[in-house]
Amino acid sequence: MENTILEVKNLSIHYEMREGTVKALNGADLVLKEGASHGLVGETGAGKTTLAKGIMGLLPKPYGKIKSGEVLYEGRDLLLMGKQEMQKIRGQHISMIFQDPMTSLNPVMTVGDQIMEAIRNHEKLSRKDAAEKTKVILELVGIPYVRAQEYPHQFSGGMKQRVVIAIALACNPRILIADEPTTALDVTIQAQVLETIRDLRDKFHTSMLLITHDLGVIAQNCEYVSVIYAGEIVETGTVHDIFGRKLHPYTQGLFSSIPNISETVTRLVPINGLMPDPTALPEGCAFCERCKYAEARCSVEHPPLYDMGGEENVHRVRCFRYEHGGERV
Amino acid sequence: MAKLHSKGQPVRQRSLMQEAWLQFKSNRLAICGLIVIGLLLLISIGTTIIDLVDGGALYKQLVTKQNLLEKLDPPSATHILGCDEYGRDLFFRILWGTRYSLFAGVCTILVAVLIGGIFGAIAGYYGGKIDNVIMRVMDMMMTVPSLVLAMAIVAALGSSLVNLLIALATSQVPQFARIVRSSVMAVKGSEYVEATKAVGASDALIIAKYIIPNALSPVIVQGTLGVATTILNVAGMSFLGLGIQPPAPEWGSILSSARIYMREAWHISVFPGLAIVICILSLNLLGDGLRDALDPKQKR
Repeated sequence: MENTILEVKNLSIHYEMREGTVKALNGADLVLKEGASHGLVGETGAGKTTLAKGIMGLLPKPYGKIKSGEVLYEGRDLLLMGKQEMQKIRGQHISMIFQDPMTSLNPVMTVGDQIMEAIRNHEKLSRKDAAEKTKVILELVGIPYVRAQEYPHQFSGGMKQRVVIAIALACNPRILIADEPTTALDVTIQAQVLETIRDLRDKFHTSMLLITHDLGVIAQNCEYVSVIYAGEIVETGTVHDIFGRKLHPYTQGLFSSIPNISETVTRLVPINGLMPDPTALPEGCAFCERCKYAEARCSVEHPPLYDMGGEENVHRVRCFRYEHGGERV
Repeated sequence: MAKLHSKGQPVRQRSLMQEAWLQFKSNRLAICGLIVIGLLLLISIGTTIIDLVDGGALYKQLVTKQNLLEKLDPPSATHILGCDEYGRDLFFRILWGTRYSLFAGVCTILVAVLIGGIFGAIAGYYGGKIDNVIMRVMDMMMTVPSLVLAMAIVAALGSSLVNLLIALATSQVPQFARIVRSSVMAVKGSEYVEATKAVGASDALIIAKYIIPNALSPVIVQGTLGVATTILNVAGMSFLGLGIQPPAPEWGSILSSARIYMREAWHISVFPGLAIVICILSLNLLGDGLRDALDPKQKR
């Protein structure tokens, strides 16, 4: 199988505010394989964006603190890198697309200049060569080069997101982290943008970490999925593992709260309750208060990830129900 | 959409400045302001050149030479704006006085923008303790009314043009520090700065291409309006006798010496007053026009 390009090991990130410590990420693990697309799904506040920013080294200062863990990119720990080194990694090796295209572009620079700037951050090119490359990239994302001299406010939301993608891919990074790239767009534009990303990934063989709360987007775009809940990965595996077996009660809850085209259901089943307060996480399983299978043990003991085999032997789940069905990892 | 060039190259579209100019041009009042300010600038440069070339001979002849025979003469064909209490031609005095006001206004604001801008930018970019220290000092300066602060500084340093400028600039610094700080903070926290960090931009690039251009337009606008305030302050200080000293023909000091003759010679107070009004009004119109033109989000 493919090689691992990025590995997050036991990453914990806390936000230390005056009102208390927000435990945004608690020992998250993630393996991104070369050329693969990995979906990260979870509800608002589960720690998806924190994980992405942790990988990029863009945690909000001075609150965001990395408590433990490693982020290994080709075997090197990104968390130990200096500022200069990290600047070289960003854009050239790992790039990120942000949620809202409306605010991710500099309003006083032309679109072409912004792409050119991204190229010239990493490549020593003359203006002319950089402009040539900008032209190629813009046309790849489906924007005619004649519009390079326009400002972001002259573009529609979907086109802005294409520009954002063009900037992120300008230096041909090996990993693309897309933080809810389509949340701010309407459904038709969503499809176009995702298709653009897919085409470009095929062309450049880029690995992708796709953060979303839309399971449909995951099904269409990813080979692997991790479900994140209250700052930890509760289930991970290939798309077929997760969509087929749905072992963790939270994953099951997620699937039963969206409509399914092949079933007749009169009422969708929501997950009752709310995610636990990240400033005061329970001692045991984070999901136990909302879980219909919860036992006495769940509220005192923290479940580890259990290896469930699966398609590529990567299916893992964090629940005591599978203690005897799987191997502890 | 823009027209295609034969090679598919973009027709170089209007640059940011051209775009702003187009927007500015459609604002008639702002254009009037610009023309008047342009004229005043030409006058002040012109009079300065004349003085430099003939060693101040014409200045002495027209502006400061007293002729008590024509004392308080009303406007006539020989003296179109009349004469002042020493029989000096008011028209030439106002003409030569232009440069004091404009020079003082522009220099003061440049100094204030520079100093206030640096402090504000440091406070906004680094935040935390540095921010607190700088801004509390600025707050302290703001508690004293600017004219009173300026008077105190002039009283301490002695009254001269340079000291006046120092005094007025000091009293404007906190205002610019505040403006720069808040715009720097807003831009620093924006998502596009984070996005550009995510593709590996250096701090220098972020400051030069992201923070400064985005924080600049409120400063330009406030600066233009600040020039107007400063001219008023210079006139006010001269009126009080703390600014530019007679016989130099500063508008405020002409106005000051005219006030005792208001009943018998109305023209001595009205014309310098009008000059101040026109100058301030034009600067304000220009400032408003710039504010509309420099906001990239308002462009059509």
